[in-house]
Amino acid sequence: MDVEPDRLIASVLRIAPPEPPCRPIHLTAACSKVSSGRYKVTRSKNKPLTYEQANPPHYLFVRKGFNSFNTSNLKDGVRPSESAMEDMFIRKFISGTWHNMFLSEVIIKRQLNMIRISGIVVRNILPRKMYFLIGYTEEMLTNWLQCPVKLELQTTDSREDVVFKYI
Amino acid sequence: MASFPCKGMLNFGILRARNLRTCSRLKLHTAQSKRRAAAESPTQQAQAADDIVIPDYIERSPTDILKALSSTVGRDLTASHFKFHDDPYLMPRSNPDKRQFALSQEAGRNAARWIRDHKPELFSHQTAQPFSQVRTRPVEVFDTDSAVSEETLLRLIDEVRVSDAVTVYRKLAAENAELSRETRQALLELFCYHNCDDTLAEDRIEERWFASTAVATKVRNTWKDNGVAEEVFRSLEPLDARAYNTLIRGMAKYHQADRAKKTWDEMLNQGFKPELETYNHMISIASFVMESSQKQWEFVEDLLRQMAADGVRPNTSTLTAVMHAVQMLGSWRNARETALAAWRELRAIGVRPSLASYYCLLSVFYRDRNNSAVSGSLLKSVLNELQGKSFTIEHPMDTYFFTTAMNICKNKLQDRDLALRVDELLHTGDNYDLIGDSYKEAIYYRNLLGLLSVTEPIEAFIENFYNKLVPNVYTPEPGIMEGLVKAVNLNGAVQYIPQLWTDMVTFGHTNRTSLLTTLLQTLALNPGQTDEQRSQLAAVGWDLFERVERQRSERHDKSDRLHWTAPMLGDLILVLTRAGEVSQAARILRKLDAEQTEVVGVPDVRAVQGLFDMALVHQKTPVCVLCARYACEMGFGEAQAMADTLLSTLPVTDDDRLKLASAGLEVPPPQS
Repeated sequence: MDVEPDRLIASVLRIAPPEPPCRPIHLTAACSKVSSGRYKVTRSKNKPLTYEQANPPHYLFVRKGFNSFNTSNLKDGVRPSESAMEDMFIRKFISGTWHNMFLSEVIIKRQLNMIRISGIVVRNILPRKMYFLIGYTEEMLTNWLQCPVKLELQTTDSREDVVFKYI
Repeated sequence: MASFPCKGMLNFGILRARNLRTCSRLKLHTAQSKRRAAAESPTQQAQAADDIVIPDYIERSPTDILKALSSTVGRDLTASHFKFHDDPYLMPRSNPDKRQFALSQEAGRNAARWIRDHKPELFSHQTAQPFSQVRTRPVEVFDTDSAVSEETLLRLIDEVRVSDAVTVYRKLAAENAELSRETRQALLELFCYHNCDDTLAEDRIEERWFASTAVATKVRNTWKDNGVAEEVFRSLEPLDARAYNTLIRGMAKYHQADRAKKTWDEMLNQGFKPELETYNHMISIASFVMESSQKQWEFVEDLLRQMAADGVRPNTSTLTAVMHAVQMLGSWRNARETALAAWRELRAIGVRPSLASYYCLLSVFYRDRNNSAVSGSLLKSVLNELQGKSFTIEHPMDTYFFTTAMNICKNKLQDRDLALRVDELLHTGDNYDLIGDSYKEAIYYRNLLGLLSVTEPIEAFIENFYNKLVPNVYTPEPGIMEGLVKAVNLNGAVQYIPQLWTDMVTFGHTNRTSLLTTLLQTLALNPGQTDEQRSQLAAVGWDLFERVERQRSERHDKSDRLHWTAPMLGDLILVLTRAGEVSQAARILRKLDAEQTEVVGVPDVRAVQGLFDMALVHQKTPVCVLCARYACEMGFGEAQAMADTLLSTLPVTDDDRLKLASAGLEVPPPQS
């Protein structure tokens, strides 16, 4: 977005800008409405949301927890960008490997050199197949991220169990 | 003014001196205390007390503190093993579940490793600092096109990758590459130790744990004749003592006894000296080399004499080998004396036995099938010797000790105290590592629980053993469950029946006829104390009936189905009647009546009579009619009495009268 220098200075100094030569249509206020982490209400009000989804981001650490636990982004934290990329990779890997099975967000907790991944999965496959996937995921991610990776899953019978409200 | 600081300093000095003295006293060193005791004059004593003796530095490994921490944490008996996921759906319930889940998880891990090894380009990045070579590096896959050298071969020998080493060796031989004598010797050792084949990798923990190895494994010749090991051996011409020793040990280990003996003779003829381990291996295959027991023992004695002549000092595995040789002698009448004599002699020259030696000794002594002649004194003295000691693995047969000792306690001696002592030894230090595998562990607990369920009071048994071990450590087999139900029956402790039934359902024991028969008998023989208990027992009985019926309707193959017998159903009627469940009991009687051809036998007359009485009280005429008619058909003498009581007590319709009459009972005409 190109902003004229005098307008920019005016906005920073909170003074009235000089009279512009022309008045174009101004759309910025509407665009700046934050929409990330918020869900749109459907007309039939039948869109299921989990508790995590039902609370917008400003309730983080108030009503809900974080999805990634690490110390990378604290002052003097190490590898912030790498951690973020790895978390993306883990989430993509999990959603591909556990196809359509994770009902919650994938929670990634880093402690020392260990990564613990938790979440709620639906019981739509046999326990022994679930164990295969657990072993496969742990070993694949261990090899990929080169640190111990553990899965800590909770299972639930139906998809309805995690629904907090419908919008 | 000036004196104050001085005084203060003085006091401080005294304090410090005292502190030092207390410190040195706290760090009591035996050497120092001895020295102090030996000091003659009081001045010397004071001097000695002021000396600070710093204890010797103890070498610690990086994991020592972790080991110390972990030794403070025991097994949590209320949770399943930590290899399983802590979730109701993923928790294993029965023995097959435990096996399946653990092996599935390992299969998943193996699949991931396969991908890593076959797509190494995806795993070439190195993010870990420092980079671990062991777990995360792709394992190189060798085929006929790989570029190889002697270094590759040495690396493979170092990493114990046998089949890859064979491939590379063949390739090098095809290229006529010159291998040094040292490399070829190392290769020979690798091939002889592993019989030219890959063994199950160390990191496949679950596969190793669940690979079923019976205690008495049938030993047979598995040595690969004219395999690559012998090829390497021949390439070592002119042969030396090391090559001979290696080959003989390999052959003996895989029970190629004839050729081991031949090679042995050849080596002696050439004037080479056998090594200690080679002697041990030859002793342990005595039973394959010689025919009769007498000759086998002479062969062992000859070898021992030869060892003495060569000046080779026997070690722990010599003792184990000798005991194993005696064990293999079978039912030789001198076996016990021979074993004891050899044991004494080897112990006298300072040979320390391992658990494997004790295992062989025990199996020599407790071999006989007749239990009368057996005394527990040997096992007792063995346990006295082992008590409180912690062991590490020294011999593959070490893992047989605990299973065998418990087996003797249960099947030979029936000795509860000895069994508990064996169990205590198993839980000393790291001894649980020597339990072997899942099969041996199951046998161990089967014997322990089987013995305790008959020797221990039932309340104490359930409280102290059953509730602790089942189901997380051990899942009882149907046979053990049956013994337990019998023990409950014997003690009349029916309060445990609901718990046992829940466990039977979870472990999948509901399709065992003998177990269910025993359970129903127990239910029938033990009327509960209170109404609540009676209704609980009736609920167990009804649940059992419904489950079996469901199983029968689900199974199409008739031979596979569980078969009801009339006594079983009779017991069930008795239990249900006691709790006043007339309609349920009547349903079972109707089933008995309808399926007379399928259900074998005759139910107890008391069951039918009891149901009749209860139905009479509840004024259920149709049930009474059914009871009387069924009793008549079964030929019970009580049938007529039933009909008479019914007719005199309750109003009976003409239709029912007709039914009774058609069954052959005397029905007087209605008095209207």
